[in-house]
Amino acid sequence: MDELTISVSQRWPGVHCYPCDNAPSTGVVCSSPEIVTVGEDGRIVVFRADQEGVVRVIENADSSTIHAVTYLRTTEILTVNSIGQLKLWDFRQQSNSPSQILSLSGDRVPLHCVDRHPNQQHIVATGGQDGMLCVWDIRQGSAPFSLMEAHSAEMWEVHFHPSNPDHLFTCSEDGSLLHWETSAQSDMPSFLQGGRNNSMISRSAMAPAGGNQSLISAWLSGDSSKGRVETTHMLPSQTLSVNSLDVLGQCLVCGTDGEAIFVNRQVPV
Amino acid sequence: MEELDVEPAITNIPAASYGKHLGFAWGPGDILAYETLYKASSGAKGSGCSFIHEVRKDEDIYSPILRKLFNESHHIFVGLQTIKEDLPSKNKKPQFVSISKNYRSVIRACMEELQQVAVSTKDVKVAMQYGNQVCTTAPGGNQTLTEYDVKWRHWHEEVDRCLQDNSFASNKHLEIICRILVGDEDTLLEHKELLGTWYHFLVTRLLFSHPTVQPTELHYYAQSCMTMFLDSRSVPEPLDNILLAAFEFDIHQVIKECSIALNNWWFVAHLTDLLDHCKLLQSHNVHFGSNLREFLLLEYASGLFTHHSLWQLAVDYFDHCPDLGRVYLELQIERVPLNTERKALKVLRICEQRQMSEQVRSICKIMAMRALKNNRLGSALSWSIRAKDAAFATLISERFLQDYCARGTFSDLDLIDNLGPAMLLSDRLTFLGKYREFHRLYGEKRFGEAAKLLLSLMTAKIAPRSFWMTLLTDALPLLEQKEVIFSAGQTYELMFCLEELTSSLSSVAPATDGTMQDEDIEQTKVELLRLALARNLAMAIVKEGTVST
Repeated sequence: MDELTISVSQRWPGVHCYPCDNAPSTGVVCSSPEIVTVGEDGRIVVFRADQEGVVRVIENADSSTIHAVTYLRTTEILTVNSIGQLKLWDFRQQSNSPSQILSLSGDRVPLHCVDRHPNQQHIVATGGQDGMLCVWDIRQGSAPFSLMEAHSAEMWEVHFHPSNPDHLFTCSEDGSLLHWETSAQSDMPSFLQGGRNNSMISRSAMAPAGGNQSLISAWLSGDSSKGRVETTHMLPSQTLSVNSLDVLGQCLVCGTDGEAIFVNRQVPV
Repeated sequence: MEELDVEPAITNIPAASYGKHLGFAWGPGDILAYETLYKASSGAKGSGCSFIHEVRKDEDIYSPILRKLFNESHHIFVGLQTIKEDLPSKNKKPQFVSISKNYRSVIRACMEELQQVAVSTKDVKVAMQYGNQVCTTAPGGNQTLTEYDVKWRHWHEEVDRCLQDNSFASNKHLEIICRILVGDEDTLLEHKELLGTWYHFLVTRLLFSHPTVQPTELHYYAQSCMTMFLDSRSVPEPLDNILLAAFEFDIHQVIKECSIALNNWWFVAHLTDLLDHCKLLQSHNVHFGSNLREFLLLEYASGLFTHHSLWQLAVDYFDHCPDLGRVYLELQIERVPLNTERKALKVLRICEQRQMSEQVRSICKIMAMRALKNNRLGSALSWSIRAKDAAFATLISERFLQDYCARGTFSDLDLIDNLGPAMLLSDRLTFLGKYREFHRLYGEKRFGEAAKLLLSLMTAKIAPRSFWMTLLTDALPLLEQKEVIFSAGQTYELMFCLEELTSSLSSVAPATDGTMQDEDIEQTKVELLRLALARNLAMAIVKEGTVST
């Protein structure tokens, strides 16, 4: 058996802190060689893997805890916080303010995770304390497009499948890991459908049929009751909280509070 | 007081000086010990030591191999509890057997890992496995047992005849093998070192002399094997007592011996629980708990609770102790250290699912205070919302307002501008949100709306009286605009507010720490306001009285 070894190459201690104490870091994302972390101190810190110091710090980016971060484009990131806001940050700007703030109308449910559609950069999925899966269109104003009931407790992570984005995975404090799949009603792949076949898209911006049609993802019209989105449980019942997951190709890994790591090498995607 | 079964084990505290008297206090999973100044005899009085020693048992839970055992057995335990009560017992029995097998296989996996690191507890686990097996295997009949017995006797006689005939006399080794096959005890005992333990000897001896022995006869052989195997000088170890009790199917004795011999409650707790479900154990009431099963489960789970990760397993164990489980949980869950928000969220979720509202409030308050102390006002508000704590929301709003008065600008606009329905949690918070809205409207030059909002903050009593002066001062630029913004009616209302404010201020005794300068400033402000209001009133009356043609 091949043995791979991992060793620590760089350390950046004490980057997240309060006035008198260290603060937990809550999320990290990487777009080689750049690394971005966020934490309970509401700070966004940017490093480079090959540099010792810190490249940039956005102080007091948020007055509440930032729970997760993800790249939107190479110069833009998205963060979610514990007062239910999705914030867009543009690194090309020098100011320490977000370029856009989006939030759910209604209760400010804390958001815990965020992921961007691999091919369509304006489509973003988030999950939060109430276990709802929200899919947003960043271009379209400030409210999410579709809300789907997913879990009965906090949703900790959401991931689009990197090569097959009709598939999405979420994991939760309630001990379940769900595999979501949008199904196309026509023969065309769902993300090329456009507005024609689907009355549910009336909420979204309708591009005129024919010519220069914007690609409208099936996720934006997702409504499980209409049978367009299927979900499957990926784990046996009665596990403790599933805290984290990742998926690549046909392989899915996740970790639970029962100090176990589950590996599934034959995910049907 | 009951007699002790064994002498209590003595634990030395290496860091404490010899001969000192120690005081102690119990903690949730440990004892704190300290040196006292008391001198028992007329020895020299030494100086007091300022250390506190923390004595903790259950070192096992920090071993990675045993952690795996605890996690896997927890899974099996929860599965066992959820077997439906109303199933007929014939359907339940195969499930119980399968659960027993599951336990045994996790024990075996644990043993293998321990063997790889050669820890001495391996012998314990071996013994436990035998004990488990014996206690939970129901004696059952095999139809072909008599057939087998007949065949075996036949074969045994053959072998014996070979020996008598000296067929293997020429080859010493073959002769030894033959003697072993016939079950000759002396030969077996000559090879003690190959057998290792007396229970291996038992198995070997029975295999070759009484393979069809009934389980109920085992204890006769067990006792005699042990006597034959061990030196006359050696004292039976605790493990031996456990096995002997197991062979006698004295379940209570097994549990008792295990409780004494083993250094954590894992084995007895799970065994008792399984036997209780199988209705093989009369779980009598103990006078220091509710019943035996619950007592053992509570002890085991309490030990887990002090661990930074295994405490979550303990919650499920407490859930399945109907008498005292909830009380134990309520006491323990408040002591879980909340180092990160995520951990606090997990603890909260557990409390909310069990309607432990007092603990929810308490945890949210701790986290909110901590956030406030670190100046994370958004986090603090988020925790108050979770606990629906109006008083704390008011506190946070006060902080914001103080900040504004001190600096002239709002901090954390991203929070105040986006309060949403949370604004309704407390009046002060509502005021904060609305006041910020006023500033926004003013910034966008929507003066009419801004004016209306400002007035409503006072007339609808949303604004605290202490803030009215600030609000009226904010009205000044609106009053001094070229065009009339406040209508006559609105101006009257503003004047009324001002009068209300000044009359209430003057009725209060002047503060002795206020300087003459402060009073002057206040007086000037009031006069400026009166002047501006009067001028505005005049202009408004004229404007409203003018008929536009």
